[in-house]
Amino acid sequence: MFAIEKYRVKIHVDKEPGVYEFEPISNTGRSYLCELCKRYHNFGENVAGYDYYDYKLGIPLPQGVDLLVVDRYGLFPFLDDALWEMGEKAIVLVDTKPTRFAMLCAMEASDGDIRVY
Amino acid sequence: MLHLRIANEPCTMDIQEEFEKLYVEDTPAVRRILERLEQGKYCSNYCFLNRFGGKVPLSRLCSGTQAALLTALRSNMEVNLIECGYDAIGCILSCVTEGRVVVHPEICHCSIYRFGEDTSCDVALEGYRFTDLSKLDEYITEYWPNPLPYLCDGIEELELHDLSL
Repeated sequence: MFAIEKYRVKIHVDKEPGVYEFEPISNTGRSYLCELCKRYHNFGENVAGYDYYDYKLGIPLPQGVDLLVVDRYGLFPFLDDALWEMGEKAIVLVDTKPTRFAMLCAMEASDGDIRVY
Repeated sequence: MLHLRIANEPCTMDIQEEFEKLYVEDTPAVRRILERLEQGKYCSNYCFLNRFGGKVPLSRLCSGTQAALLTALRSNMEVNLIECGYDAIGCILSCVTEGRVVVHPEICHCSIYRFGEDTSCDVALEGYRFTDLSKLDEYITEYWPNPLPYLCDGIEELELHDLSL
């Protein structure tokens, strides 16, 4: 379980450490969640977001966080080993098509709350 | 006709980058795509009205919607739908009738018909023309890449000249 509740938009993740991929439905708010995690990371929270442009710019995967959200992984599907390793201690949520990881997760986003389960 | 290809190819197209170059004009297909995938409405080439009635920049559209709009408005470009959810793929196949798209073979394991809402489409695949989305869905999940054992309403064989792009 993981939660950040101190900001206007709260994040709740009802998962244990591991690597999960989002179900393949459009417009559920994955990119928004990734962006939010990047913003909260900048505020000093133990979360991070990572996307295709970070990879393109050579930015390494953030380490030592409790929650990592990876967006658009289908465009750079080369970090499986690193993600599995991170998943031993952190919750790693990956937007990827086609499917690569066995465990799925779903999410619901409203104005003030994002829930992943 | 929308020309559909199913192939396991690395994706070299960045949908978001291509979408940023697109002029988003007000057409019936654009309106249907925004309504179906975003529960929104067309506003201008710069913004749309989201489901809450707010004006939001087009760059905030999800990748699936951006891919759908690219397909609808750039019929000379083959759009890779690898970043699209199954609902977006179903919407594209039923809303867009001119253009070219390629999807990953994983689509064979999921029925996209339930995301299409409409039953009609105009899709060319493997030498067939499908005008019934349920028949296209059945072909993809049950027969592709093999030939169909029969033809029926909603499916016809394409002549060679129809296959030219």
